[in-house]
Amino acid sequence: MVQADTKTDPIFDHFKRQRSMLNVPKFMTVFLVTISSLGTFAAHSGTSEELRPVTPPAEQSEDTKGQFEKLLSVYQERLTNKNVDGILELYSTDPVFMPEYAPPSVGREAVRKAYEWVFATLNLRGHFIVHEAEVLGDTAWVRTNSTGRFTVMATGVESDVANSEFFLFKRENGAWKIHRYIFTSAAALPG
Amino acid sequence: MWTKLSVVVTLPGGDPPMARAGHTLSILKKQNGKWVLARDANMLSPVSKSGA
Repeated sequence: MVQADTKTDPIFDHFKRQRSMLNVPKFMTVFLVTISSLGTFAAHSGTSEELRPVTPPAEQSEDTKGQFEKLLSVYQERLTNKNVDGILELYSTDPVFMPEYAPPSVGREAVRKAYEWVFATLNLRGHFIVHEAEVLGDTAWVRTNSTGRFTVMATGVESDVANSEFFLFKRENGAWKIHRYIFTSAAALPG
Repeated sequence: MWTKLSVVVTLPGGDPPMARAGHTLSILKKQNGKWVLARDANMLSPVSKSGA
């Protein structure tokens, strides 16, 4: 596992640099994702006792999926309303937010700044579709995609957006919180 | 599992190699005593020549 050396401020420089490399609509596909997927192949040979997991029974049902659909519906609404505080309520105590074309935002303050930057730049309207969700004890993962529209506030340019997302949730004080969140555009690679 | 991944793809025929890099978020499961990749989200994007 690699924990990237990420500071709070360089994200803005990075975004600016990437925007200069990409046209804005392409960049914007930033905000909302590709789960390249999902082969099953051996990643580790299971040789080490230290990796012996605690394996609670997995729950993967319509009820499980439904509870995360509700949660992501709340997230979607708060995105549309640019409600940064509300969005932060949905995150865990030590989250990592990994948008495309930018370094990961590590920790709540970095996540806050990332959303503030996005909301100062774009208007977003989107809809998440939950494809699958699985609960393992106090951890859960959810695979989604999203479609919608965004508007670049400075220019008024509006465009479609389509992304794929992968969420890792953590249960904190009985509530599911976004703990890791990665997304990429479903559009073709730039260049 | 959260990782940073860099990949260089070189095609036969002499075309310039393509570099991609980015972060991944993966779910591993143990099957028959072996860890296997169950879900893998990655967002490898082109690496500029300056390395940025």
